[in-house]
This record gives sequence, C-alpha cells and structure tokens, in this order.
Amino acid sequence: MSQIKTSVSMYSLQDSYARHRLDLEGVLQFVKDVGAQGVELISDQMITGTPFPSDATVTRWRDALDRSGLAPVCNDIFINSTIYKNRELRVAEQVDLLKRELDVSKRLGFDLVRLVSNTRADVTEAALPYAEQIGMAMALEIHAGMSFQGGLTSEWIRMMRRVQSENLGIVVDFGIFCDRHPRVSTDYFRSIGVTPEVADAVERIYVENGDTMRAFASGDGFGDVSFPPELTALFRSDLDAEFAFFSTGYESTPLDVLDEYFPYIRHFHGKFYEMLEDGTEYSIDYPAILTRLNALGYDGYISSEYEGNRFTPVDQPIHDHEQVRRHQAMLAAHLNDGK
Amino acid sequence: MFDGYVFTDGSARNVVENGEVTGFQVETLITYYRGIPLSMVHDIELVVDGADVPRDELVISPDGEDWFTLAEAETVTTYRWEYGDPLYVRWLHAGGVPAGEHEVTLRLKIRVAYIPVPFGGERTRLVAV
Repeated sequence: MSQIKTSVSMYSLQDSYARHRLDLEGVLQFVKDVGAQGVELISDQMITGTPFPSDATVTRWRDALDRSGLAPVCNDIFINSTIYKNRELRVAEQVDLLKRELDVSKRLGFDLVRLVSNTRADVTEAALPYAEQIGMAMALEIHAGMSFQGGLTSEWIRMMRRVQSENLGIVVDFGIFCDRHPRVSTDYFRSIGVTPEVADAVERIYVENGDTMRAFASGDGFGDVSFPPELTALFRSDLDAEFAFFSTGYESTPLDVLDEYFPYIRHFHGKFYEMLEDGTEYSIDYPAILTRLNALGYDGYISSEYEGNRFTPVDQPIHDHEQVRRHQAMLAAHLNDGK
Repeated sequence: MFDGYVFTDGSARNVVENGEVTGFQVETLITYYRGIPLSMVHDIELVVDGADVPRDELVISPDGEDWFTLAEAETVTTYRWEYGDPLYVRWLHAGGVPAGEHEVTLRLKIRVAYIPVPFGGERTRLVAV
C-alpha cells in the first residue's frame, strides 16, 4: 500500500469562494466530500484580517477544520515585500513580516508553511531560529518558470543544503513536469486576441525544446526573456509577447529531480490545468510521477491545485468543483502505481 | 486572466449624500488570488464615455466607510482589501453622471509579492444610471 495521502489546496476553489458559491465552511466540506484526507490553506485568501485575524476568525476556522476531520497540511504564505510603491522592503523588514506569517499559521493549526518562489534565502535564514522555536517548518515552492535554475531559488537551495535544518525544505509544484503546454492557456489567449501564428509557434517551440522556459527565459520569472527572431517576427501586439512569456511558466523537468531532492521534499502541489473526461491530466503524466514517488517511499501529501480557473474565458462558468473531483479521483486511482 | 473579476456587474451608481448627488461609484473584485494591504493597489483608472477621470478625483475604500485618494492609499498598510470582497471606487464629481446609458471602463493594477510587474485587468460595461 502506498503511504501517499491526498489533500486539496483551497486555491482550487478560489472562484467559488470569491463569487460566494462556497463559504469557508463550504470549501472544507467540499474538500472532505471529494475524498481528501488533508487541506491546504492560503491564509491571505480566506482568513480575513491575516496576518492578524481576530480570535473569532481563528476559532471559526479551527471549528470548521475540526468538524471536517481534515488534516491541516500546509499554509501558503507571502511576504509583501512590495507593500510600498516607492521601495522594496529591506531584509530586516521582510524577516518581521515572515515571523508574523509563521505566527498566524501556527494559530491556524499548521506546522508547515509554503514560501512563495523567489522568497529570499537571507530572509528565511534570519527567521529560522524563530521558526524552530515555535515549531514551524518553512518550505520553498519549486514552481515552474522559477524552479531549480532560477537565481533566487538556487541561492535558497544552497542555503538549505548548508544549514541542514529539520525546519527547512521544499514544496515541489507539478507544473515543472508539463510534458505538453496547457492547451487551456493557449485557448484562453486565443480568445482574447493573441495572433494565431504566435499561438502555433509557441506550441511548436514547446514541443521542439521540451518547454519554452529553456528556449527563451532566465528561470527567474522576472520577464527578462529573449525570444527567437522567428517568433518576434510574428508578434503583432503586446499580448503576443505576454503569451510567449507566460508560456515559460511551465517546465518539462526530468523526474530524476525527485530522487535528487527527495530528502528535502516536505509536500507537493499537484498542479493541474485540465482534467480530461478519461481521468488524465492534459499536460502532466500523473501515473509516472506517482510511480516514482512510490518507488522513493514518499509518505506525505499531494495537494490538488487547480489552475485552469484563470484560463476560463470571461463570463464563462469555472468548473472548479468538477475539476477537483476528477483530480482527486485520478489520484485515488493511481495512488498505488508502482507499488 | 483576472479580467472577469473587474467591475462587478450592476455595481455602477450615482452616490447620494444628504440629498445631493456627490459622485459616481463602481465596485470590483481583486485581480489576484489573495487579499492585500490597500497600499498594494498600484493604480486605478476610470473612463466614463471616453473621457479619463482625473486621477486626483478618484477615491477608494475597502469597506465603504473610510476613503482614500490613490496618492493616500500608497501608505495605507493596515486596511486590507480582502479576497472576495469588493473595492469601492468613487469619482468625486458633483452631480455624478447624467441619467441614461454610459460606457464605463475600469482598469486596475495591483502589486504582487516578489514580482516586479503589477497584475491587472480591465473591463468595459454599458451601464444604465
């Protein structure tokens, strides 16, 4: 039997929450009903007043969590380093914000936080003694477009390897395992007027190079890209360049990185863009990933993280419930692959 | 990608205070997936019938009670614009807009953590006032 457990990131249900189809309790009940054992929160998204929610808000969350029986797997936090328009926060200021996020995560019942990609190594290291003191682990998200080759990510990983703390690790997002460019993204950009020849060329370059990140981006997620002349020759508007850049937010990374980084992996984001009716994900080969994770003996969680929501054309319904249901069913069906 | 959250349908109206029409107001959800301090609202533009509303005539509020000019909002770090809650965008303009149909565009940009390029969205609606 596989030791892998499944959770759902509440990120998946953001549209249902924003448009009041589900409230906080409803989201948790839905996650329970689709068969997950755990739940992942974005406290900035659904806990009002974060990072200083009222006691009543925290009690409401913890009561709903207890009633659901779901395990609190991970809280996704952010350091608002851009809180002022005229400057970026200095390291000491960012450390203070990070400590607040650790505090609120603890109050909400978590012992693991996900640090967003490009969180600074020095900020994390400075907050580590506090994290150790209150019993929180901090794991950097390895996200496509800003993954292992990115400047800030590789600096963070060097810090993690040097420090060797139980309270540091990584969260790997499956968006780094996109064998195919998500067609829902291409379709969305076509619907808002991307030049069809540009859409075709980006799809073709993705296939020819494995992904477009390695074909024309730095891996820092900062937009400093160099597009090949045969692509720029097709550009007719800023939207074309935006789409081409956006395509670098997916990577096709060999699964061997799972072996290499296994001792540091605390959690996975089971990213998905489009669950098909046949129970497969359009871009990501889940059975291959689950087979590898079972071979490695992974015994943590994989969170369903639906990101097709943002590629739904304006005013069309977002089928987040159906997509999450299919994704959890797929995970359940393949959980023992390779065992 | 977040355009669908911009400019809530049915939210455009003239503002009446003490029996006087003092302005015109719309509401919007955030072009992001989490709540932020109000200071991270990078810019807002309102266009009414093809004319840009002067930036210093716009005020915003995360609760409908306390209002800030866009310049003031740059330092407002203790008020949060919660995810799923509307931001109220008001044009301080005596008399508001005349009764009838108007073409109104709302553009919104917010800063996000660690990404130097602001996220944004825009939406144009024909509204009856």
